[in-house]
Amino acid sequence: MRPLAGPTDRAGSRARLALGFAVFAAVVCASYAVQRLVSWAAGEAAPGEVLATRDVGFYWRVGLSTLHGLVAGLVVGLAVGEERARTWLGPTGWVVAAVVVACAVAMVLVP
Amino acid sequence: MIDASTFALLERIHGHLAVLALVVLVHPLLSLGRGKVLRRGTLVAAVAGLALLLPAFALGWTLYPEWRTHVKARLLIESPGAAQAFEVKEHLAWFALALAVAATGALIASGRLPEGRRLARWLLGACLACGLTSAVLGLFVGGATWPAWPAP
Repeated sequence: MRPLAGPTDRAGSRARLALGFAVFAAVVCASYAVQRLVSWAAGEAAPGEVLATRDVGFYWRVGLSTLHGLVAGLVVGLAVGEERARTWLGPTGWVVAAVVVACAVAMVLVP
Repeated sequence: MIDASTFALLERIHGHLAVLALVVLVHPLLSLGRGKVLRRGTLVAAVAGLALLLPAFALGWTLYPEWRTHVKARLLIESPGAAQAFEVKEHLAWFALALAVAATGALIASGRLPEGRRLARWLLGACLACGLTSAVLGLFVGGATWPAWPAP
């Protein structure tokens, strides 16, 4: 396979964009998990009454978490400086993975 | 409103597309760990995996009201374990999609930088962990809910 070109002088802005994507993913997962935990803490319909509930929680959670992720990703992608973005890009991967693991464990414990 | 056999067909397409997407996404995860440069095949596989995962999720999203109407309430009473597994599957499938979008976006944006490739690899790893767990739970729930609802 032919390798793509190497780093360019636009590396800083590319790093900002990538950081924005990573923050999007972390915030989507965190927001979704928090919404689920809040609705669990607030109490839920009994199994026999599920169809009587007016709102479909899953749709709301997906919609709102997408909105939160987009806003957070945009803010980080636009606000963080190019040099700082390149510095943060390295450790961001495992930080996002840790956030996702924590959210996934919470979702297993509170389905 | 769809009948039980159409539901079963679409449910299978949904599952097969999702598993195919995960298999395709294994390629960029492995190749990002090996190479020192971003190869075109890695990028193409990441985009293809996302392109398969998106319709899989959209199909699940479309089927959800039917599932809720015909299956969920019964399952909560008859097989609470499978009902809970379905809820976890839903949550993790959404995490996997968000992570696949982020990984592919990060790869396109900064795949030429070593830090960008490392980031994309972490995101892909988390995506596959969530996606594969979701797939296993989907198999379990699919087995527990067959047939989806009795034919008239």
